Amino acid sequence: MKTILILGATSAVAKAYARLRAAEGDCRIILAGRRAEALEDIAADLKARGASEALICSGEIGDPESVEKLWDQISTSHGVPGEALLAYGVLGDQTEQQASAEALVSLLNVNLVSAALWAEKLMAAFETAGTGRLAIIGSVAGDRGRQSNYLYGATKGALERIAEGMAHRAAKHSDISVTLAKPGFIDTPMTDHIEGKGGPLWATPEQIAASTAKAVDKKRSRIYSPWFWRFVMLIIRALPVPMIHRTKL
Amino acid sequence: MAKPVLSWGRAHSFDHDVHALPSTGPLDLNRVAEKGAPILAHGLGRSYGDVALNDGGHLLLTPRRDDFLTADWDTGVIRARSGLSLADLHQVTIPRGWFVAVTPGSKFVTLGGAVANDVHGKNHHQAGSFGVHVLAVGLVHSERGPLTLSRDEHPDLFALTIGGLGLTGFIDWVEIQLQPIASSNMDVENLAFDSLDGFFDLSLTSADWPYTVAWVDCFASGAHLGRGIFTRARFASEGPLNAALRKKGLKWPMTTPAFMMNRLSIGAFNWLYRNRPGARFTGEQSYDPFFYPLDAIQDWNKLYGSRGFYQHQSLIPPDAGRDGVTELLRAIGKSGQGSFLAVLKIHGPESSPGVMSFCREGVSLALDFANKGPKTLKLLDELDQITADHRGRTYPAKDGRMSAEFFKASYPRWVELEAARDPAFSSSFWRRVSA
Repeated sequence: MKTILILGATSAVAKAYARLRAAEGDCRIILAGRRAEALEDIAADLKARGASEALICSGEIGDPESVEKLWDQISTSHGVPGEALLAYGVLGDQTEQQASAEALVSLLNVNLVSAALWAEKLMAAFETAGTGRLAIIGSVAGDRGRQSNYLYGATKGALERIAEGMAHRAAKHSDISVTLAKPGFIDTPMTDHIEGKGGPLWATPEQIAASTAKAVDKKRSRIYSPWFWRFVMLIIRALPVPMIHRTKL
Repeated sequence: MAKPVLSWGRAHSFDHDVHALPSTGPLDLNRVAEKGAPILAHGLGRSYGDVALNDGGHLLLTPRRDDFLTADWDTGVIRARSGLSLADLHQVTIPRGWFVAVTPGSKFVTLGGAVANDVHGKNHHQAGSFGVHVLAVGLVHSERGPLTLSRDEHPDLFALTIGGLGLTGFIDWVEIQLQPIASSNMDVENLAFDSLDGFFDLSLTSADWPYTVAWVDCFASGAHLGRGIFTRARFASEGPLNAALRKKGLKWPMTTPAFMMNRLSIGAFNWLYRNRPGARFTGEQSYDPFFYPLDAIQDWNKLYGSRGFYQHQSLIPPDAGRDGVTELLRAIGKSGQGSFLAVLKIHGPESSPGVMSFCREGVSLALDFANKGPKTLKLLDELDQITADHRGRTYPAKDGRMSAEFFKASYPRWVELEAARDPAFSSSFWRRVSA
């Protein structure tokens, strides 16, 4: 039976991903996140949908200081997972992050530092076990620095370098893979405040989860989700600096 | 965030304070919506008229709250949050051999909406309405907090919540009994009938089929009045258990120009519908196109043009049914305002606990009319009058204009719902008909 660790299980994409895995059956899902009550609800849902077991691990998963302790808890009680999804992250308010050191450090700690620590713990355990799948949710925002969200983009861009390097590191193991999924706009509570939300560029968490799960199963190292973002970002990355500087993107 | 929200019929659009509820966790009504303006829960917005609208008030969107709470695959009893749609429910239940005991004609309805409107389907004559199969409801009341309602616990509030139009509080979860199925395919027979008598004869001889319904050609007159296609079906006794793929399907591209909806085009549609190759189809068919043909076309409600459309579903007691339906069809024929989808259905005895439920024994006729302003409203009033003359009633979930007088006369127990209504909750429909 496969054990799947979901980090940031209350996020909309993570929840949809866990449901897909539950529907496949014969799996034990460990849900890590901050809100125990919400995790309990999700665990009950996943069991009804076919997961053999759904367990929760509540704690400050985005706090770099807590990662070691939480990882020890998880690996001692449930062993090394066969698959892990790193799905948590905050968007925050860029103006606040520019002005407040506290907000900026918190963003970097949650989205990048703690995530890197989790990835290293998992990768080391996968290498010892000789098997494992790591999936990381990045973002198209990491593809180019733009005034509206370069701090968030920086954390996602850095995650991409980590995932890229780890995929390289895993290349000599036939049964270890690292997948980075880069979604565009997703209809989740995290984006509810965005005005003019909706339209063809917006995807559902279920769509992102499905393409991520497929990429993990195929051991692909990087995907855009939905696929058309690959071409959108190709253009955005190719725009000359003076041109980007004239936009409000 | 103040946003315009349309009814499914698109004839009503009101501004609301819209709150998309979080997917998990307990619900604190006082935190979600400040006091003052009335609250209403809103699922997938498939109600045709204004029962799910709350002009100027708060609208709590439930679709993200779609967790299963418990599922017992030996007994087919599931408990889930009210935002779970039948489409998503069936993804989980069909492979395990379970199907919802009663389904309306769209799978894009939530459990909360199915309870609030006590919806019915093609098996009403045998299975009753949705409420019959509801074992318990979790209600969050603005003053009394979370309550579990069932036939044993708070039975009065349970009976008023089923078919209670979402007015007794926030329906947080629903526990239902599913029906076992051996296959996700249906054995289907379609039979043409040439008059209203033909419909009643077929209904009688088909009473042991679990699912029956008829489409009628509302422009046929004279000896052919009430002619149509009778459909009867049952789940196949063996076969695959496959939930329909979650594909998006076709999309109606734009709102149809109003002038295209006229006697000629509807007459042509009806002729084609009656004479299409599949109209006399007999054989096996997946449950999905059988129960939910319109769901295959996204935004089909835009078919009726920018002014939208009205639905009218009336239910007339058995002894007055034949006369009532005859008069209704004559009035429609005379008005020249036709309906693409005129649906006739025999209903069985009332068996739902719902005090305010629409269904009871008789025959129902469901119609839709492009909104052509005053002349459409006049026709609908006329249909109400014929319904009233035959001791019938019309369906709140499909209504957007019935008079308070008619509502109160045909649902005399409305005063009980008004007395049990959560004071923080109201709807555009309710303010209109209880005035």
